[in-house]
Amino acid sequence: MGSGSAMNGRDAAGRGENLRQALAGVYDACADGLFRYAVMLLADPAAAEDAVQQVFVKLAARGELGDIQAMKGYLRRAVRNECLSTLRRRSRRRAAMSARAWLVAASGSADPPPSELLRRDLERALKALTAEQREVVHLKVFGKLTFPQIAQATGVPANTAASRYRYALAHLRQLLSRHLESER
Amino acid sequence: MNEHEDQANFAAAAPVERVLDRFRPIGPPPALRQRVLDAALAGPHAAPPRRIALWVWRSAVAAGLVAAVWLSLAGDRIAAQVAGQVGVGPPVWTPQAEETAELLDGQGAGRRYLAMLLQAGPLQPQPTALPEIPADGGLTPSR
Repeated sequence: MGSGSAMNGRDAAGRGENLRQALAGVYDACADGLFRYAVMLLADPAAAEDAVQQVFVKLAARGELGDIQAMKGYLRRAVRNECLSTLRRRSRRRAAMSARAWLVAASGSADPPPSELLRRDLERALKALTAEQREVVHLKVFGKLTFPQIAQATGVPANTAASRYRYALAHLRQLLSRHLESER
Repeated sequence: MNEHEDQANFAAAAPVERVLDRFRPIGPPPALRQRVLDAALAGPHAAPPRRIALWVWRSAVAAGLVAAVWLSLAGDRIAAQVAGQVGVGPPVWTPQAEETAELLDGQGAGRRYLAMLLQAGPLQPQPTALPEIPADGGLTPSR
C-alpha cells in the first residue's frame, strides 16, 4: 500500500512535469503573438499579461493539450474572450489603465526609427479607437490577415471588418494629422 | 462602394498604414513565462489574484480613515441634536451630585450611573431623609 501511494505520487509528479513541458512548448510557440494581440486589444500591457496568464491557467485545467498548430486558433479565441471580459469589467469599474508604453519601433522597417513623440501620439490615437477597431487594425496591419480571415477570426462579416478598418484609419488620420502633414 | 471610392479610401489610408507599419505592439516580458507556467500548474484556484496598484490600496485606506472620522463627528452631532430634541441635556454636576458620587464610588461605575440619572434632570435639592441606621448596623434581631 505504501509502495502503491509512492508510485501514485511519482505518477502525479511525472504527469505534472509532462504538463509543464507541454505548456512551455505551447507558450514558446504562441505567447508572443497572443500577448501582442492582447496588448493591442486592451491597450494596456499589464492587463495583457493577466489575460494571457488566465488563458494558460484555463488551458492547463483542461488537462490534455493538442497539436500546437490546432491550438493556435483556440488560444487566439480564448485570449480574445478574456480581453473582452477584461474590457467589460474595466468599463464597469472605470479601472485605471497602466501607463506603460505598449508600442515599439518595428525592427524590419526601412524607414528611419520613429520619434518618441510619434510613438506616444500613436498610442494615444489607438487608445481612442474602440477595442474592435484596434483589433481589426492589429489583425490587418500587424497580422497581415485578409478581411475574410479577419471576419473568421472575429466572428463578424467581412464587410463589417472592412468598415471597422476604414473607420479606424479615418480616425487615426484625424488624430495624427500633424505627423502625417510633416511627413509629406 | 464603387471602384473610385475604393481607390480614394486606399489613397487616404496609405499614409496612416505607413505610420502603423513602423510600429509593433510590445512582446511579452521574459518574466511572464515563469509566472504563467507556475500559475497554470498551480490550477485555477491557486492563480494569483490580479495585481491591484498600490495607490488603490492607499486610496482605500485613506478613504476608510476619512469615513471613520466623519462618522464619529457626525455621530456626536446627531447624539447632541437628539438629546436637545428630547430635552435630555448634559448632566449638571451640582455640589450635591458630587457628594452623592463620592458616596457611591467616586470615579467608577457609580459616577457613570449617576451621570445617567442627572441627564434626566438635576438631583432634588432636598433629598428624602434616610432612616437612621442603628449603631450595630441593624444586624441585631429585634425582639
